[in-house]
Amino acid sequence: MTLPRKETRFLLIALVALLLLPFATMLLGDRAWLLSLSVGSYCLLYMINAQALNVQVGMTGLLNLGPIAFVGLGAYTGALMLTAGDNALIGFYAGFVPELSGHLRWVLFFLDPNFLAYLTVIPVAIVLSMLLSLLLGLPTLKLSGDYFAIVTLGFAQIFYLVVKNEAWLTKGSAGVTDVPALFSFCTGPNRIEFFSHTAHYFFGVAVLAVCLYVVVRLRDSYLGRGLLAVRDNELAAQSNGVNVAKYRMLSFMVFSALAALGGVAMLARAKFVSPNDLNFMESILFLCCVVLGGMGSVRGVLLGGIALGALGEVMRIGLPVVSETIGYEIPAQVRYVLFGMILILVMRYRPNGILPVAAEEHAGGLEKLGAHRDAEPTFFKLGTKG
Amino acid sequence: MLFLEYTLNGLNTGILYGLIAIGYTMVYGIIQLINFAHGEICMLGAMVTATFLGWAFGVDAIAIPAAGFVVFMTLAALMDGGFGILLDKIAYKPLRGSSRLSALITAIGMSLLLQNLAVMIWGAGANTIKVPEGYTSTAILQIGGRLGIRITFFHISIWLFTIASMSGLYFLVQKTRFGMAMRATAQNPTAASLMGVRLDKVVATTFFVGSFLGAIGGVAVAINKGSFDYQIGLYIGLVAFAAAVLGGIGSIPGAMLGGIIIGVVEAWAAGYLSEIPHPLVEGGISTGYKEAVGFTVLILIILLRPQGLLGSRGGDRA
Amino acid sequence: MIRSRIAPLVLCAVALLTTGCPPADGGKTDDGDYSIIVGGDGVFSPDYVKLAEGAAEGSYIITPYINDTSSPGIKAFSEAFIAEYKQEPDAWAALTYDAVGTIAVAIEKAGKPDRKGIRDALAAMNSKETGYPGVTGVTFFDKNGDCAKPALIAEVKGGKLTKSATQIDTSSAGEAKAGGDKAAKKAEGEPIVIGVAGPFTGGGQKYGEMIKAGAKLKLAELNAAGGVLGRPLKIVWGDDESTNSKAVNVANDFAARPELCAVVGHFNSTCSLAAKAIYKAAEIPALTPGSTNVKVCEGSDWYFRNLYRDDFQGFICSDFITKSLKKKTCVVFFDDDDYGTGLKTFFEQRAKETGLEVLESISYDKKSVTEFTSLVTKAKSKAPEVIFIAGNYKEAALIAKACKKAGLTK
Repeated sequence: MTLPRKETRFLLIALVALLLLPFATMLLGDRAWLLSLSVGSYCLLYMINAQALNVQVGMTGLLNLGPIAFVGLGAYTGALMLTAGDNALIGFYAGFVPELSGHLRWVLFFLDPNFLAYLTVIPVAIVLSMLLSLLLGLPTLKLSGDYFAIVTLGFAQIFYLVVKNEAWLTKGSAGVTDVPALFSFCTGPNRIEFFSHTAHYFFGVAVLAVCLYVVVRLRDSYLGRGLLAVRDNELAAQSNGVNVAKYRMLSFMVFSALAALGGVAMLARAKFVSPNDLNFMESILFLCCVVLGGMGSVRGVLLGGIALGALGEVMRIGLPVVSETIGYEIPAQVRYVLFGMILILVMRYRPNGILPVAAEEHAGGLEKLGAHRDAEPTFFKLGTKG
Repeated sequence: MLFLEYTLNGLNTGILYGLIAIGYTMVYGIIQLINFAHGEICMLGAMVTATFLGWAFGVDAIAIPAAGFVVFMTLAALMDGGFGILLDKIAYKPLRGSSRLSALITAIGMSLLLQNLAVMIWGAGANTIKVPEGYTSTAILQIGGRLGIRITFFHISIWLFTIASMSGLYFLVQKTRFGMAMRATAQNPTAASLMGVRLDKVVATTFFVGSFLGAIGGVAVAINKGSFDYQIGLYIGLVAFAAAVLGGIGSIPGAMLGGIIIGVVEAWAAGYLSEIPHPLVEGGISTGYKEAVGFTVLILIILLRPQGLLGSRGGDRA
Repeated sequence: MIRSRIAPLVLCAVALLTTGCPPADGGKTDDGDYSIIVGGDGVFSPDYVKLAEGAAEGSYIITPYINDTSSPGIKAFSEAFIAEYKQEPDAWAALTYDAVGTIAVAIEKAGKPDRKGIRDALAAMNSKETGYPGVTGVTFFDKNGDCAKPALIAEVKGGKLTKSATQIDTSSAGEAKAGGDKAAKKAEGEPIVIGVAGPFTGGGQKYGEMIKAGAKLKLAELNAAGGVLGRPLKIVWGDDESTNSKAVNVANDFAARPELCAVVGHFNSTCSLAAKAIYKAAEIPALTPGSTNVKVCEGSDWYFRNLYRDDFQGFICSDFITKSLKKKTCVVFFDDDDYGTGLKTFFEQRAKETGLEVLESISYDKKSVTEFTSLVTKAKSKAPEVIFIAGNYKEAALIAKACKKAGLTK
């Protein structure tokens, strides 16, 4: 099946816009440029992780309340490998990669020892994260939806406490500091050099592009149709020969792989990770991005990620300006009050998200399986007691 | 002896988890919603109680009359019950019929909203609930010397309250016509409403009872802990939710049982975790895992009994 | 309908609670001596005493600042603070107050609001003579950007935090000085902007409020006294919510303001560690009034702090117990965040060296802890002479309360 053209166009435009953003804001001056990079790279983390979660929650209908554990695993794997033995990994690459200087460093960025080290770390993080999801998923995926949700919630809490308490491995509460930058030439105190500020941003865009590609391809493959079938009507899917457990496992593993990738992107941005990054609210925010954007809709979740990521930041930067203009200091809590209200109002007036799945987007999958497609699961309908 | 003390500590905390878990389990039983804002309802109960007591007896009052304490706590809990109904009417009712996750996100939004409103009203600092003199400190029963086990009036009263409320709930759900309507709604809302059950009324009552018990639970948790702030609901809510699932979500006795199990296991963890040598580094396992142990037990039990301890298997979700 | 079903419940509750409470007990038997509570600087807050409701009496707290009104400098600050905010300043308000003052002096010395100049001026404050004399003693930095400030011992006496008669650190604090001369000049021209970052929302909000209060008070004083370089000073607030990712965002926001010349913050050590690289890259001098983690100023010429580090504090706490209190055994309660574990590690290290026996180290997670009874029971089973708390005042008050209830302290 070919990609629905409208969606492809949308996603491509979005990616190109994200790529061009730093160049565009550069014209608006230093402040706008730096701010757009900061907020932009922050939003990218939400877009990536929300897209990952979308595979599991949006497409397969498995509620996961602890995605941050997998993001954290990615970030921690990266941080620990990169800093192990006094940045031994980077030293290893620096040993046989020619040292470049000037603009050549930008052009041949893929030869940079730091970047090569990051590239090495990524597959390890992904494999570890997938193994973890396999371990957690095998015994628990047979559970019905909400029980699985509480298992993931509990797991994220346990993961957080393990990271905090096993200091011999994870460096404990103070976190892993001084993680090397994405490129060896990003470290210097050079405000002017364009690339040192934008490297992690472009890295984020690249990761997002990979995510989008994987998610769209998965959804449009026969596997994806299986996932949607499991979500829409588990019983019907099963009676049509869909192996529900297998598809659930698949979605969990794809999610965990993408989340680990998101974790590495997070690390590249902050160059620091600590248990503080693993808090429960982050999980909830990722979930909000998915539901607010429109479950299962790739475009919607992309928008959801931008919206929620930017909302907090815009309010943080904007409210003091408003306070100043009206001459009354608005308490900082107002941000979260507004945030809560926006969640409630969006759900009230657009219960299926900002950009819900258009019917034609994945029509065909179910009909091919011969399953009758239910409406969205409803408040009253699901899980009625026997 | 020490083991007995840990167990008692665990039981005392556990029944408080249980009281709060009842709110989760009842709401879930009727409308299949994980009411994430329930923890905040409990927090509000404690906040309002503290405020009432402050108004009535002065902020710096050292001792307050027992009768006054009970009256104001009950008043606050009733208000909180009303607030639970309001929460449902404002936030959840418009979403009946749409995706369950939308309702979940609304609940999360409500939780954020209530927490931060609470900060704006009561401030971010810690707050205490004033209690009658000797309520939490005087030992009614003391086993061993100065450092022995103490059972105070506070412990006795929460036990009595729990027993009373559990019997009351049993009576309400199993023996009254209204309870029958509730059970019918839980089984099949459509059929129940066709049989003349007024769903809105059932849902409102559920929210009222859950929030009322949650408020009392919140006050008791605040007293048991020593002080509380606007964040107390968040984690207590998570634990209570875990307790509800552990006991079998939808089952009221299950919620209490789940709460007690998590409370006791956590207390044992506090006592004995550090005695277990760490396999890789010198010293025992950190007591910091106290909070993880409850969840570990939860996961293990769900694996063995997916429907929870006292839950019934779902019908159409094979 | 509802009412009739709920009524019995309510009646039950009323009946059971109105039976009255028995009178206070008398029959305490003695099992050796009562334990003494010693706390790290996170415990130092008037709220510790208030929340512990009497259980804090007799505990000792190590702190960089005591609201000791016998010193004229502190008295002026304390009175101004109470007049403005109706509460006593804690250590963080005082340290932030000094941090803003230090930055203001550095700007004056640099001669213009220039990031590099301010950094150099801060780095030049490298001895007691060149340092900034504030209410928390003289602020001056070593090569690393760390600050050698003495630790004071406070004692809870009669429901008040007072300066204890036993002090361990003999090096003088340097006389606290009243804030700038009060010549009423008018500050004119384009304001000079500095950033103040801290947890203004989220878990550490109470600290954030104190930081804001301290900074605002100094700001008002400076501007009333003619501003900095004759120009008014202006503060931009950055709310890091005690989380790393938000600290990065705040740092980026600050870095993106060309007019901003220095930062006071962050408060939490993890936030400082997360933001450090950005300030370094953007070449903004930052002065933290709260991060005590050893690594905060390491490897960056742009990060300074105006209080001691965890290792120093841990040593002082341990020495205080062995030398001043002359006790031999203790149980440690520590918050398993960066602050608590850092302090506990150095405390234990020193305890080992000096023969203080740590019977048990009990950790707790401040976000999720629901009660302390079981943890205190654990401590009780070891019958320690001293209970050392490496954590925040909120939890410390709960521990003190639980200890009292368990009969462990008086």
